[in-house]
Amino acid sequence: MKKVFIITAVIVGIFLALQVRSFQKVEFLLQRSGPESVFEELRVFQIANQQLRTQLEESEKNFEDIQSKITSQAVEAELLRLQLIAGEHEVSGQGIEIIFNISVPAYRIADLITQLVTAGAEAIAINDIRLTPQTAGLRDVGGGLLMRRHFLRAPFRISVIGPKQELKLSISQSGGFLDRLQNSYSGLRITLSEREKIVISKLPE
Amino acid sequence: MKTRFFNLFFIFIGIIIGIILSLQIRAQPVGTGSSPEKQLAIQKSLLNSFLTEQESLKKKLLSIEEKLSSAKEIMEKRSSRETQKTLSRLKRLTGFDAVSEEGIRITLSDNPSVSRVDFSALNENFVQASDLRDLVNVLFLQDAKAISINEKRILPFTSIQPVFDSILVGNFQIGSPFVISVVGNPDALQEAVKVLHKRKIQIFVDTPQTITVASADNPRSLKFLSLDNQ
Repeated sequence: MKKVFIITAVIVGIFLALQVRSFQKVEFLLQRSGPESVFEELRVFQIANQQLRTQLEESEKNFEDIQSKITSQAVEAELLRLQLIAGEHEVSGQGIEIIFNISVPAYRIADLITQLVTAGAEAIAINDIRLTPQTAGLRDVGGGLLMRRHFLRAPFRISVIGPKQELKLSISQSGGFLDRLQNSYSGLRITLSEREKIVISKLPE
Repeated sequence: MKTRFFNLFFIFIGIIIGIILSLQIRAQPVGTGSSPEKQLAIQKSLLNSFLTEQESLKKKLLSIEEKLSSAKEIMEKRSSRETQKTLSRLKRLTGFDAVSEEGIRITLSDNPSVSRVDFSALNENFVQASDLRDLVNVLFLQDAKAISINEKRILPFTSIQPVFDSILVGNFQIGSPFVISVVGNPDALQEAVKVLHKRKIQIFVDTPQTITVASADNPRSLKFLSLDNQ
């Protein structure tokens, strides 16, 4: 009789463990899958094509501009464009600020960056370290984050320059990115605010 | 007394199994695998129309980008040597130059046991957008100098997102297999691949003598960003 008990208990234990593991796996994939439904994903594709059309129009206009402008003006425009991206100068513009009071895993921040870029972010900084090819790469380290060579501690302040309303909407919809994040970590407080002017410092020397 | 105890024990086990079963039954069905046929047909038709539109846009864009690059090259050659140096340095910093150095090439494919026709975002046998995002993140951490996925240059501002059964890199749709070319220290870069070792996908790494990663497409116009001293 004792054996029956043990066998039954072991089988129930295995069922429970399998069930919990299966829920955890699905939950993890669902949390990271981003858009809520297939139609939402298709909308992303539609937006991508719209952006390609805009890019096409801009490239055609740029080409005409280069041909019509005198060389110095065209070169200056190109220099300014690259300087704005490179991170060697302080930049500003309208945008949003997101603050996490406690540390969240690096992959969550990477997923958030993807959402913001899709919504039109032009510059992003975490705790005032601007995201560029020289600082890209996030890793969890001892209760904080390593952004390539920069160690960042909570609270994390993510400053984003871009269309503030679209940026805010892209992450704050019901069931959206911030909702899923909030539900995953007890004790996490998220502050999201629109700003007329966000300033992002140049990269440290 | 003993029989009563056994009865209680089996009732308890029964209740637990009942709870597990009811949880399973109440679980939300996963949309990707349970769409009605009609809905799936609409999705497929929409996807095909977007794909066709994208192909046509890609061709036009490629043609104008080539013209634009040539015009820029001529324009830069006419400027002073100092300006040319600055432009070249800034392009290197921002990823708008081609890089050809030592590095590695990583090929990610779905597990042979599955087919993309049956794609599910919840199936670990498929290469997911998050796999590519995680890999790119770790490659940057290993000081990758330049990264491309299926010939598209990846910058920190390149989004990688799932769309139905394919993946959008930037605004371009790409499909499996995913070939990631990376310029940098081959030993350090190979360490990065370990981030995917728990996945059930196929990973192949090779180290050709030279890896060439093309320049990023011309940068999109910046509407909100300005130098703060202006």
